[in-house]
Amino acid sequence: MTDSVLRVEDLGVSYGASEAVRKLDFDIKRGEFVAILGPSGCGKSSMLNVISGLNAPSRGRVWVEGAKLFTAASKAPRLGYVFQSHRLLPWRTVRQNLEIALAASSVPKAEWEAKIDEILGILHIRQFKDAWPMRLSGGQRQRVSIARALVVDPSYILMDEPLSTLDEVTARSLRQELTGIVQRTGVTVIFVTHSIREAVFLADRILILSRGPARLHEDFTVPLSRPRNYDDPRISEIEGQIIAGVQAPWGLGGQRDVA
Amino acid sequence: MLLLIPLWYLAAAQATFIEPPHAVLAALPHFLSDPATWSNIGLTMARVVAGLSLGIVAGFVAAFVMSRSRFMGEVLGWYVIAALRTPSAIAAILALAIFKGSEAGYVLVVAFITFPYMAMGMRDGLNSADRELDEMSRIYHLGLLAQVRHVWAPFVAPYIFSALRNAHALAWKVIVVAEIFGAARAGFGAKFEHAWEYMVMIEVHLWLLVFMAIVLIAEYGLIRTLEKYTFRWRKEA
Amino acid sequence: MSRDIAMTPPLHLRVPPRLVAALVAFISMLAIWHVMSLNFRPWVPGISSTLLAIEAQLGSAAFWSNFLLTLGRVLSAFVAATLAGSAIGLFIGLNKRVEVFFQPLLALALAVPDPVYIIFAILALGTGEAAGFVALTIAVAPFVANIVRSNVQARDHDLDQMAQIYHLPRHVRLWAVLAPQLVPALLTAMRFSFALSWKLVVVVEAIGQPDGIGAQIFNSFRLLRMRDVAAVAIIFIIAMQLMERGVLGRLEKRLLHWRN
Repeated sequence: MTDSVLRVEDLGVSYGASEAVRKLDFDIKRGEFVAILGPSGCGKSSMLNVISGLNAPSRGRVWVEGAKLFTAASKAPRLGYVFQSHRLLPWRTVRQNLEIALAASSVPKAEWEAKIDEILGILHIRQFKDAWPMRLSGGQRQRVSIARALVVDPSYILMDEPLSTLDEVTARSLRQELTGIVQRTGVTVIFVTHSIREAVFLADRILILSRGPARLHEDFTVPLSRPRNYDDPRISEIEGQIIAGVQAPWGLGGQRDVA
Repeated sequence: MLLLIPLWYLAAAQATFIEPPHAVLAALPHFLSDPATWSNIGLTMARVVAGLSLGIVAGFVAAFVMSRSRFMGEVLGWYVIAALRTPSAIAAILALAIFKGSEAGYVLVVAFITFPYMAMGMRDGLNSADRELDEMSRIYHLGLLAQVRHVWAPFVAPYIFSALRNAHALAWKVIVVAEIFGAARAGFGAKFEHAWEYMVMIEVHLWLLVFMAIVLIAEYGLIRTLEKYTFRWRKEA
Repeated sequence: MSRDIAMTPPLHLRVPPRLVAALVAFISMLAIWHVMSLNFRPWVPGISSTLLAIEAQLGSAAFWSNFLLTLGRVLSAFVAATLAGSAIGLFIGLNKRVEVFFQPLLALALAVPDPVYIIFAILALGTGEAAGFVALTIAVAPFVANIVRSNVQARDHDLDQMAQIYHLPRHVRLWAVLAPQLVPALLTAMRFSFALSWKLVVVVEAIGQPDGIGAQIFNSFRLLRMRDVAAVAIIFIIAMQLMERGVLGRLEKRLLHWRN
């Protein structure tokens, strides 16, 4: 498979006696937007730590662009990460924050300036290039955080509930833009969320995990064309189907953790 | 901790005035069984306890006034700064001159030096409790006693403890300075200086050892235990 | 007519309340001083005679040579204690195993009364310049170490993870991620260290040095010249306070400009 960006086989993570991830297999292709849904405490963060290259799994294999991770010779994957909070360095300007990430990437220095301008332009924050992060609003900071993830030419971008701390109006506009950004840049995105509606709106595919220790409950392809409308009744319909489907695997009161 | 003993031996070998540990240890039982030792330590301890209590009360009154009135807060703030900025040696000299070496002088020096720390710590605690108290009591209509017990106390307690720890450590240091400078006839500082002046080095070491033990016992045995008990509901405590 | 003025004070008479508070505090302190000088006559000097003594001291060459000597001692101990304390604090804060070993030592070092350090430094090194320097540094450094340690441990671990994910090299992690987080703590530690150094130097000089501000104060006290005790103490305290505000205050503004 040449266009596979991230492949996970028979992944298991345990800490001593407690098991966080039981068995996960999936394959994510170039340019795909994949959402990951699961109840809290299902082992998502353990899985994220593995696919971001931070922790080796207890069992199983992981390939990034065909190269196997966690072997003696392998390098850590080149990825972008958008966290729940922005995690920018508040004592560096927007441009400097991007440059610090670029310096550790393989992007040649001659291209930095053009790349920073281009990506800040896509995110509509070019006017804040020399601003301190503390002077920006929450939504603007999260845009900078997305810009930092894009600018390093990543194999894929991990987004861990990036919109959950924003107010709904800001989250909505950013969510809308995110689909455009992904189309323009062709970047591969793995998007963790608690919101089923958000997942249905954004993703090509949704990996639904079981209650912890995590197993893959369903690999769901979203049957909607783009562009999509967040208020489309078909999104509500699919959302309802997914909720009905996870009642059992997520335990009693399947409404739990569904924002 | 055990590493300190070879270090001590090393220092003893290097400097003529530092005695080796075994000599000091041999003199320890006699020193500890002498009632005069304990009466001197008791006197110093009484001065510390009295001064610290006075400092706590004064600090509390100041903190209360400062948190009630902005204007008085500014005024008292200057007093706190003045007390904070007075070197303990100078405070000791002045107080002992004024009170001519009576007990009141020692107690007042300790109170004067510890009071600003208590005042600042408790003011911060009261201010943070105020914000919380306002909302809580308005929403749940708590009675006064319930307010104090469930809202006020838990909020102010951490501030009180951290201020108390600072003030307590400081109180012991100040009393030694005051006893040395005030030419006290009894008390730890007086005996320590006496031993030093007459070059009875073993005794200098013994006083030091006992003194440090008492300060550490007071801090860990008393204050930290009290703190742990107060915060037993906290996970990490 | 007088009522009108009382009800609507003209604009130019409106003084900021902070200034009023400072004035009230200052005047009440002078009043307390005055009352005390009347009641404890030989021991508490009068205000006017103290002012005259301050003037005399400011014009005396002996005072200034003592002052500069003490200032040099304060600054050298301050620099040494800040550097040593920060290094120890950083080391303990970043390393769990080092912490287990050093924590009880630090608690012990904080509990030792300052005269003890001074006397032991004199015992070990004699009554030279070195003894005072060592005693001051050893007395102040644990406080700096304690402040720095707790702030290193309270650093933002989310940023550490971010640095790891973006593969930031070690020197970037130290200088761009960790160091700026420690700046406020280091400034606090420096303030504390400076204040402690100049307060302690008085004790050090009184016990173990023949010259300097502390020795001058203690000698005046022994000769019962309380006027000079008060005068020298006041000049010294105000001068140190001004230095702290001026130099450290400016440094703080400069280093924390990224905060809003």
